[in-house]
Amino acid sequence: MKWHWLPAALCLGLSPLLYASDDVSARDWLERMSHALETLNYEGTFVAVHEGSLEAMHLVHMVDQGKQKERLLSLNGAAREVVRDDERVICYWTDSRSVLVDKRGSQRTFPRVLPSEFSGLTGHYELRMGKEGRITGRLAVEVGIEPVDRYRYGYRLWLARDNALPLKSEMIDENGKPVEQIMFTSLEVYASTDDAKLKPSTDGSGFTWIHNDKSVMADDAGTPHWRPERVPPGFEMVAHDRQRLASTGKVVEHMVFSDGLASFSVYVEALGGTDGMDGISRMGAVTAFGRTIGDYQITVVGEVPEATVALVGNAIVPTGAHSP
Amino acid sequence: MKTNPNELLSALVDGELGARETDEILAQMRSDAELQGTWERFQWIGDAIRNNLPESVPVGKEADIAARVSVALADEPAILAPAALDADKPRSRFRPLVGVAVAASVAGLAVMGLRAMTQDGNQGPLALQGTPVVMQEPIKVGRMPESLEPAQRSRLTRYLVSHYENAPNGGMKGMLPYVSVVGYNGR
Repeated sequence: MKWHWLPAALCLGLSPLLYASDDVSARDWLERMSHALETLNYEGTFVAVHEGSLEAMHLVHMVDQGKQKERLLSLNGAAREVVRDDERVICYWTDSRSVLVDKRGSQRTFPRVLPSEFSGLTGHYELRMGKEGRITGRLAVEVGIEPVDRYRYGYRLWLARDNALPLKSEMIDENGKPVEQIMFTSLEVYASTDDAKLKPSTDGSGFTWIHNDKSVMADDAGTPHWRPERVPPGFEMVAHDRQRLASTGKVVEHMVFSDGLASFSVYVEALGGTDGMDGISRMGAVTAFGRTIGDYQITVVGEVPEATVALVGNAIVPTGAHSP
Repeated sequence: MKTNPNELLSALVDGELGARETDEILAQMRSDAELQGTWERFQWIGDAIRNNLPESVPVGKEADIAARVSVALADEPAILAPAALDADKPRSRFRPLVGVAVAASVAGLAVMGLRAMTQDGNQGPLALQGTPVVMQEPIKVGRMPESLEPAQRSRLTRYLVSHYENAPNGGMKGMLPYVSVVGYNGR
């Protein structure tokens, strides 16, 4: 996992004066949250509310010798679940009897550029502490993250007073309306790991297994063939690569942009003019924008407002590093 | 202003609640097992109506819910007609925002896409189109599989998972980004 709140702790500054500020204690709480999410064994049921839907899900997180393992399971309808560890993400869909396997990319295939820690965050969000309250029967502190423009969502988080695990979160759009709300209805912390809780409800035998394998292009993978002419303020490219997919043989260029908190990906794939997709679509927290340039499909996807994916999607141009 | 919990619940399922009302109903649901049960039934009955109940129900907590829902289905036919299941009511998020009703969203694609990849495209959600129930629910079930080609769906599924695995802010929400992948229940 990528726990990039961690650097926030390093930025804290130890001056008591600074420490007393709202901004710093909010950062402190966010860092504590990240640390808790990463290091504790926990299991909980939560509801996720998006406009038009409400889902119940079950989450298990275990840490075994420093390695995290997680399982997320839908409680409504056909069982759909994701389990992942350091190496792989496996998505099971019992209704379609299929399994998608993806290798964890973060530390392996991606030449990763570290985001500029939280310096960028400072300019594009304002942090504040809210009131203390009660969530799921527990004392919680509220932390607000407010964007300064319409190119990113804001957040309100309610963290358990005792262990900083998030009991409730809201992602807020530019009009102040919640895009996504997540609230735990139960959340247990365990002293020791229990692998049985991580076992998927199906072993996937008899299912269709799809391996999202890709080989990193050996050529000039470091030089993007495409780039957005502009991105919203504060977003920087933090990862880039070009891969050939084992399944289709097609080459996909992938760029990840982040402002330290929000992120979106740009994908450029040569489709030969087929299966193109145009326009904006969204559900819940995810917004996608599709556009076709000649034989290439441009897709921008992320948990960011429509304005962001549309701006970036419309700004994609070939760099000339490779004539398309 | 709705005050009746059941009305609030219906509105919530319909995505018609503001932040404050949503907070309110969630708070009530926490402390009110009966209300929570009602919500579960809304969800499960909706699934049942859409012919979408799982073939097998997992063990443990979920099994309890399933059992309770079976009872609810037998005992409470009246609940089949709450506003929450009003088929004519469009769900705003599922309306295509632009052209291609890609709509359903990338999250939906994660589910639908794989169906399409593993079946012949006339199965799964598309097969439901022949049923009267789905005829009544053009927005919730019909549009999405029609709006995207199987290749588009599977591609977006790939993209979404890959994005989550490579975006640097995972620490913010931990596993929760996958809510979008797992959470879509075909509605």
